[in-house]
Amino acid sequence: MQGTPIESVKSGIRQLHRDLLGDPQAIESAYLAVLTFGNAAQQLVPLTEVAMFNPPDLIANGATNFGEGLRLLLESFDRELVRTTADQKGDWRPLVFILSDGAPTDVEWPMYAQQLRERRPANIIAVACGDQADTQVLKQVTDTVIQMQDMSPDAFKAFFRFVSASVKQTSAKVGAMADGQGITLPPPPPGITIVP
Amino acid sequence: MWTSAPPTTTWCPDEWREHLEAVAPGLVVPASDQDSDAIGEQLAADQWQLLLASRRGRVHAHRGEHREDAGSITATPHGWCAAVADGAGSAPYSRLGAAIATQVFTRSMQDALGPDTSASAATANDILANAMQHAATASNTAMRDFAERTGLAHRDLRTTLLAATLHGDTLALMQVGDGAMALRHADGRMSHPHAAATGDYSGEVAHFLPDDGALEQLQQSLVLQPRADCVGLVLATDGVEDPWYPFTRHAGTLFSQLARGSNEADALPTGLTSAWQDRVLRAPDPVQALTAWLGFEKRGENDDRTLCVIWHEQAS
Repeated sequence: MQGTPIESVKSGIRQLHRDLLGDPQAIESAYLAVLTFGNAAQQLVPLTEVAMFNPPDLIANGATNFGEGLRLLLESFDRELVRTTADQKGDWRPLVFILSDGAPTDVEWPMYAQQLRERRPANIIAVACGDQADTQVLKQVTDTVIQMQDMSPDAFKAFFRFVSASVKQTSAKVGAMADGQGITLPPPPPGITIVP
Repeated sequence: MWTSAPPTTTWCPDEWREHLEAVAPGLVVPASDQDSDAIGEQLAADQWQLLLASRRGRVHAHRGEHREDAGSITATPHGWCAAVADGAGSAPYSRLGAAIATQVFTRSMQDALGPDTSASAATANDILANAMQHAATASNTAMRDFAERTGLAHRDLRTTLLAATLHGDTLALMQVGDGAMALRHADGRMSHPHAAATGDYSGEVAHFLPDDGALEQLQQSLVLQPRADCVGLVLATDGVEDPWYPFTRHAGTLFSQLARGSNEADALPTGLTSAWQDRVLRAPDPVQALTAWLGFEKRGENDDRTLCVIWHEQAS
């Protein structure tokens, strides 16, 4: 992802942050993290409470090292999430949005996709941006894949409003089912379709 | 930052009122926004007192949504019955599901444990076990019946249910979904009839009524035990349990606070601040006191809170 779309994602993250700062429950309970995968995968922002979050700068580069990104995501779950124990309540199941506008350039991604499917550590929504995104690859990571054909700044703006509403909804107690299938997301904005 | 707005929708659509009355006779529909904010009730049953309060959480108040918890208490000729429930936030009419489940459960127990029912030790277990299983079925059936009458899906009414009944000298306890109950003993000890539901993540429940399989879970959870030295019980929805987690450690402090008021020596859960310092159980207005007590604060814990406290006159 590069050019106008990456600028729109940056702007969208800033908008998401501002929006969550206006919601008292999100301030008290939501955390944000940002990971990228290009020539290499990196975690730009560790899991950070909304009030302390600084929207990062995003730099696009050529490759789509998807497997590295998924591996880093799994590592961050192990490192940063608090699980429920006999002594403490754990975090809510995280909500992860994976945005991709292309296809993997590495060969290891299926192994990590399978780990994510087996461990189901999060509610994952994969977002296929534009018509070059490989939805079949994303389907191997999660059943919930949405397609955003329009990659204009306005489309990204609407998308991040949807992300914000989703975070607010899941950061309140929603009584989801323990199998992770019970979350109900707000309806996606016009122009975004669910990939069957 | 937090605001409080009245609910923007009616608690029960007018066209469903007759269906509600049909499946849960006597269910009181909140008459005002104030009722939606908090309700409470107290009653005496022989040497026992039952106190129930349910308070809308800050998230629901901020968003102008209804309280989704419910509770019901009733006296029977040989004891009492209490039920609390937490409607799932992801279910649009879970407030109705929770209200139906608790009302039908306690009403069913009241019918089953009438004045002619034997409370002798020899028969109480059987009578009580049958009555509890029947009440569980009645609650589930009433919810499903309501769904069919109104065109709702079962999942639209999803709720947890915790119920406790005393009949003679026998206690019966049941639970499906999260929340917690604890027993207070004469020596100050607390015991916990059901293990806490501890998945990896918060806020996730394995079974809700009236989904398939939930009734069986509820019925299998039945615990029957002699009342013995039990002098008190608490039934809490997760809006209370979570801030007091682990309940196995903190329920004793919770009960002591209610009985005697806040004490500096109390080992409160980390980050929890009391909103009510005086005793609750023998306060001049216990319902008002418990409702105020439920206003305790803990960062991130803004769910609806429902607590039923039952105590014997021997409790301290």
